[in-house]
Amino acid sequence: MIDRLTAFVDRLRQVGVPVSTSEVIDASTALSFISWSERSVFRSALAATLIKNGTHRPVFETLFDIYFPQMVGELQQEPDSEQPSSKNDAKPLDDMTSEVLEALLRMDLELLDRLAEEAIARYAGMMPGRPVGGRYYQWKVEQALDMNAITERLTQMLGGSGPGGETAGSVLTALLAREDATARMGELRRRIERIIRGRLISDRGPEAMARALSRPLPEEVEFLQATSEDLAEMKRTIAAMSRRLAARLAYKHHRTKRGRIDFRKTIRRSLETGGTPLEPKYRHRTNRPDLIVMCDVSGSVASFSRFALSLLYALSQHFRKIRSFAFVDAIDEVTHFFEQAEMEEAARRVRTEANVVWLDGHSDYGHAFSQFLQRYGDALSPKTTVLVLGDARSNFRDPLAERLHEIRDRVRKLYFLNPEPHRHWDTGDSIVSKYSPVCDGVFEVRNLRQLAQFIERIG
Amino acid sequence: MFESPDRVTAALKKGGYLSDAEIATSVFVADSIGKPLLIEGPAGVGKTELAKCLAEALPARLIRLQCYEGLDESKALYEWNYRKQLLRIQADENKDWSKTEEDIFSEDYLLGRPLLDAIRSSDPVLLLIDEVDRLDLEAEALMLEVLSDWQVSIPEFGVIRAQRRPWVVLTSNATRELSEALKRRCVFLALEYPSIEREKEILMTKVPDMPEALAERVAEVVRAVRNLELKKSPSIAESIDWARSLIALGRDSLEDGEIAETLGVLLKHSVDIDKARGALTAK
Repeated sequence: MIDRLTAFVDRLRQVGVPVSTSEVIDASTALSFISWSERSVFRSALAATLIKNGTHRPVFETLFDIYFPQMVGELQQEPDSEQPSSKNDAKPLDDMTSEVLEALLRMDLELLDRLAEEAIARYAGMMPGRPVGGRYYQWKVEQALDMNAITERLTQMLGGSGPGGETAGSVLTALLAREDATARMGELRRRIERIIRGRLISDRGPEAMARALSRPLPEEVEFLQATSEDLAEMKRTIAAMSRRLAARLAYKHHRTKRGRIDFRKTIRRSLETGGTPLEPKYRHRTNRPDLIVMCDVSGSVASFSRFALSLLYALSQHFRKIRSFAFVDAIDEVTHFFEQAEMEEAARRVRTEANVVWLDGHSDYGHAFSQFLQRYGDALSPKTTVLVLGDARSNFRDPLAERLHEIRDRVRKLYFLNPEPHRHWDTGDSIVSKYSPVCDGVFEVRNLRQLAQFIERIG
Repeated sequence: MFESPDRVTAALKKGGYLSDAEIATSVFVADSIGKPLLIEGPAGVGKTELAKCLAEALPARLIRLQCYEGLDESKALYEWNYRKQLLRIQADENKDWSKTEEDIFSEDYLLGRPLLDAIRSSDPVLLLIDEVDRLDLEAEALMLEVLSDWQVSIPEFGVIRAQRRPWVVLTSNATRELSEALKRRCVFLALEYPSIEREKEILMTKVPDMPEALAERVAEVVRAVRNLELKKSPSIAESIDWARSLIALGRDSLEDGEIAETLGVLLKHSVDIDKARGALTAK
């Protein structure tokens, strides 16, 4: 067991989860106190001692399934023998679908397990030794079962409406039914995924499987390469980070011995020491920052700008005074899009309604900055912090760094966050070095980890 | 010491806290390997409540240290009692100074703050360090000695070791990443909003006369509300309040109109209320 544990920990470390030796010792100590027969207890005990960051939990779960598979014996017996037989007396697809629906409706987990097994045997076409990832098989099974149609019908059935699709119940009932259906489908998906993974492990062995499955941790996914799935996963973390950023910028300098002496407090405190003021007390001003965010939404940084928009969205939930701007070669205020709407809606409106194109829709930082000064200059104040999000690729147009300088002079801090790797800065049309002298800092922010570092640094 | 995670569940339940397997196992592990339990999660998922009920279940005296920015050792660890020291110096004016000096830096002149109190206590205690993420890094480092070696060093006095190891629970809202050093010393529990099933049970335990059907409905609606992107998602306490007010109003079902009227109990920002109303009810 210790061998298994160390192999597991090694793999965790390889994908970037920090696990210290003392934590491994804790884990093995913990294992001596619990019974290993209950898998969920075993798993929770390992998670509690090894994983100290909520976002690492999904990676942990995946690897846990690989290294400590459930019912190993059972999974190995059938795959080959079962396939031909099930093909012969195969039920038509419709029967399968309605059985799945039935199982989901009653949440009959055993039946669901069995159906998932059957569906995989029939539709996945798994063959030993094929160098295909689990996602492919999963996709095939889900296509064959037509998961979307099942979700639709399940929603209707849970909502108590007729098969025609006319919702009989209220908006609320419909909404709740949809959420419920989605949750139940998730249950089915997880089952299919687990079974496929189990089969693959018995085919290829855990090491190969772990290597194939190791995706980067959410905080290491590069913004410029992020898929929409990645972005959806990041959303939660982004929300937490913007709260952190809000806390950072509002930092009260309690411990610095500066500012005006608070006589009342000092005298009051001196009573304890017989009237001698040993410890002077100071007045503190709480620093409520205004935030201005300018975000490049041009095509060259498309997935970054999707990320940046979700950051903007999250920030606007936490800052009372935030104004957001989007630009390509013109700049437009987009604050109001974020005030009411959902994230997706806000992003859509930024793309369609904001006036961010002036000439040809190629980024022009200089023009954006000068237009900002012209139109929104009065938004700047000594309490303002400005964040510019973009790759500083200005298509060889005039950088107009003095405009940015002018902005800098009128605010508290100005930071530039660049999603490109440092080594690409100042190559081609990138003009980072034109802007960096006037900024309080230019940061490479390629992933959430670097965003977190930025937040810690500016405290 | 607890014998198994199931015992933890049972003990917590007696104190009115409904746990799940994950919570029970984490508490059990922290208890058996003798390490602090660090609970992280959004506001209102019952972190502090878990610590309180745990204290009751152990049983142990609860000592609470509420963290805030600017908390320093004189508030967290100990402070010399200046007043008493000064009086003593005045009273001893004509006596031998070295004797006086020795006396005024003895334990009698030491004011215990939560961390020291927890260490010095001879009866079982549970030390709750609440919202540890509000501390700045230096203050966080203050905790390390206590949390791993169970001792406090006082330069003028010496080292005070724990008579018995206190149970320690730290909570964090994750507004900042805690240091690796602190995390390494703890057993970690990420607490999320409860599942519909668990929330339903919580509602039924906490609100007397709660019909099961309504409890389930409330739990479902609350989950739907939490899935919206709001400024502040409703906490468990707020969903209990909401259920209570529905009972008080004599409602036994929950439809569009009724939700709109009482949303103010669940949500505290007018933007959130508008958003939820838009999503949950017919326009």
